[in-house]
Amino acid sequence: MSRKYVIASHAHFAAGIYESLCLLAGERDDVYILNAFVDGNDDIALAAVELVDSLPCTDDVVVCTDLFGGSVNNEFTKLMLSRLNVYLMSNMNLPLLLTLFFADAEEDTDALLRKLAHDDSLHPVYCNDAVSGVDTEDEDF
Amino acid sequence: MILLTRVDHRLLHGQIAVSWVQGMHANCIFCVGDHVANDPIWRTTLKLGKPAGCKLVIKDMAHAIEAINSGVTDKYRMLICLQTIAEAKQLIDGCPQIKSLNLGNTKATATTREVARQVFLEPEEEEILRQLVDQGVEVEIRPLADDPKIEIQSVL
Repeated sequence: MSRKYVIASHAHFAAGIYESLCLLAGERDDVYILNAFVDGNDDIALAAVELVDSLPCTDDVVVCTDLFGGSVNNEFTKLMLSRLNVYLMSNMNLPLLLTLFFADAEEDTDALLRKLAHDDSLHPVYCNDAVSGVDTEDEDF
Repeated sequence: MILLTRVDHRLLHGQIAVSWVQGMHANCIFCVGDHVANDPIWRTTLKLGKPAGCKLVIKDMAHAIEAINSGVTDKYRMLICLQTIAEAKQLIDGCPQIKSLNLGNTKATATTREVARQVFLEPEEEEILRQLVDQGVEVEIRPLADDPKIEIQSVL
């Protein structure tokens, strides 16, 4: 089963984070962007339904939203609860999306997303603390 | 095995850590240059941000040439990052087994010419690249691993 990806946010975060992804990992043809409450996208409920309906129901649709509990995520939660092929991940960030896009396309979508949600390397890093863990010795061959 | 030798003035950064390491299944990044080797803050920064599961080695030019020629790097799937085209020429002259050079990011200055989205060449760098091509080295421009190669001859 192939996957489609929806990146959705309040304002232009979705388009912006996709632009960052393109710079780091190249453009993709399986990503759909929804910038809510800007550019005339005021009816987010309708926009979410229309977007998901435009994708083949035989594909897994992975939706990544900006904020758990926010209205964008709430609308996609309704879709997730009513459709079998919608998988919803919230509080997205760039490392999450990069890891998702480099993941094995054959991997089970549900298992993959559960694994990513528990992956510590995808959480925020407080660099002031992290730097103390850097080895002062230089690596050699 | 040297998978890629790349000129990138930022050395190891997002495009390398993401696109190249994953796209080429690299397990070692070798940053080469006298500047970075002698800059402790830059070395710490690179070590902090290195991709998981990847070895990071930083050496000055002389020690880098020695290491590659000694064979100790052979067992790694290695990406080499250099800051400048002049340093790439030095490394390739010291290690003639390197037959291909990738141009990733070079800095724009008042005297550079833009030849690709991320690549800006000084006149003397264009001359170095011509010499490399004459030596039989493939020189190609590619920001990311999946991008098509632009042969340098087409823009010189």
